[in-house]
Amino acid sequence: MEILVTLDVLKQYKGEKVVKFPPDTLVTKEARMYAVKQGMELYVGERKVYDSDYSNGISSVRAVISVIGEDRVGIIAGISDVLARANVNILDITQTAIEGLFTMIMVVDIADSKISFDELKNQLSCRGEELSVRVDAQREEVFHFMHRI
Amino acid sequence: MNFTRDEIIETIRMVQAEQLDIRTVTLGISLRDCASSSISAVADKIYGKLMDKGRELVPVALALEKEFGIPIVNKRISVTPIAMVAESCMESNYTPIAQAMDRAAKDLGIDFIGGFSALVQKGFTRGDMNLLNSIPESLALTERVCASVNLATSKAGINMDAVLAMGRIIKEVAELTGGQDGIGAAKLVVFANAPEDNPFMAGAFHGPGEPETAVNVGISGPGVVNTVVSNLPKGADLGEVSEAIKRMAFKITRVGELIGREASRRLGAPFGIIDLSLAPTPAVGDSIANILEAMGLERCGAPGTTAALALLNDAVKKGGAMATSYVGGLSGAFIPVSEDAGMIRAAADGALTLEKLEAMTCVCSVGLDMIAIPGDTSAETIAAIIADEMAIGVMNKKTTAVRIIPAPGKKAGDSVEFGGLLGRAPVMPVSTFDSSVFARRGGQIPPPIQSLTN
Repeated sequence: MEILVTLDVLKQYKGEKVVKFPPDTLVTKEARMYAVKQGMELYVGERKVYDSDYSNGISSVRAVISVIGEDRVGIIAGISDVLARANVNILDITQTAIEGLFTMIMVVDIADSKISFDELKNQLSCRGEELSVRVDAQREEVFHFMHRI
Repeated sequence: MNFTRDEIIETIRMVQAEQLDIRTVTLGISLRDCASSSISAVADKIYGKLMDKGRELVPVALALEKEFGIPIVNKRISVTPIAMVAESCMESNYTPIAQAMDRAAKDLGIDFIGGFSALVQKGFTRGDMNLLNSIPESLALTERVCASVNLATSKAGINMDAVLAMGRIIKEVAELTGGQDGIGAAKLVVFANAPEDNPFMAGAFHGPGEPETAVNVGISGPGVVNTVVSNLPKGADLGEVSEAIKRMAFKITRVGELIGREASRRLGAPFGIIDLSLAPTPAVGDSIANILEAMGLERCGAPGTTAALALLNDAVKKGGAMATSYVGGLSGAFIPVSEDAGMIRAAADGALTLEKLEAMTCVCSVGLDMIAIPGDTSAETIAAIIADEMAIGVMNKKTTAVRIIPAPGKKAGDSVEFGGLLGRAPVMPVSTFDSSVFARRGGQIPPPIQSLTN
């Protein structure tokens, strides 16, 4: 019986879906992360071992899109068009144009996006160039981590 | 919306206009299972393990950069001190290991690999001696390998034999890379109280108490802090300055925490620590010196500089400590002269001297960092400079370090150019009074009474 299950111990079980250890076994953090990556389920006695949640419970399906540039006709239409084609839902939108400087911020749901986030960013910045504005897209967690305790 | 418009704009401004970035994501990898009796076998094992464990580092970092919109400037690897890994080799020249590390670094696309290191605070083993002897050739023949040697701890005191040896080695490294102003010495640092989980180069190594792998993150953001301090009303008192820096340090550190957790999950390696640091770059505005000047000093180095730096360093820690679960590494403002445009200007103007820098290292991390000195400075004088810095660290139970470059053929007032993040540096004058009798005495300076804490 292993008292401490480390990464090396777990590697011997590679390929197995469910691995059971006797009660009171300690599983190291590295071993737990390995199990998650390999899709293994670990049990210590009857108790299932979970890996600790990393994300403060924030789901990663939302992104913030910011548009900054000179005000002109068709900026919102142009950006929304890219989003609609990608099946990205707009959750919130706010925009101002003060003395010709246009800023727009959108919160969008990317859970059902048809394209990868990387591709979406590329398409947005291409459209931004056509409209002579700067478009950035970032996952929402950045703002959550920075501005909320 | 969960966030106000101003909050979102603030974050975007910090990244786009004020150079907020993650300075480094450093993957620590244990090489303790790579020992063998033949150096070529060790080198092969190390190369193989680095390629296996480090394969995903650069792709993951690039993906994070895109998704979160925060630049990750450096991707690095730190390894177990090579003196320990190579000790059982019959050969005494460890250069082939440095070359294997360099090759892996290039093949993986990482910027620097640290851990060509030895811990000799209380004396040498065979592996330690061999490693020290191999440092000059290894650094001259490789590009991305960094070496570090721990010479002192608060518990052990200062190994003065090693201090003198390093004085000689630093000179030799600089001379071997004389064609590039002695750049080899920029990849070599000596420590007192070296941390085992430091993500920053040249001093990063994966300590013997660390797990198999660990993700350590070094944050940055002098530009952001500079803006906050500059935007304060002229009449703001120093308590208000501290408060403003604390708030900003919290925000900067949170970004590091997010990237660290996410990198750890994707790499399948435990999250180690966040290094609460303010690391400057040669970019305009991304400077520690400018922050001190924004507090009201004409030039960095003017009287008051040490107090201003102490305030800055403390506020960064207080703000950062709440933002992350695990703080480690060096954690403090860095004052590398050649990497900071404000420091370069202050040194060139004569406002900032070696002695003032030494005083500043009492209140911040890390030490005399990236300082070019005249090429004819003797090994004994360099050793004595190191000894001073080690004493500050040992007595104050803090990490201190020395990374100086005796630029071959250069005199005080000349300038050296390293390029990239390493920047350029004015050659600073060194006291010409002789310390060689003291430096040559050797032996061990005993640990201070305050180390008897048990």
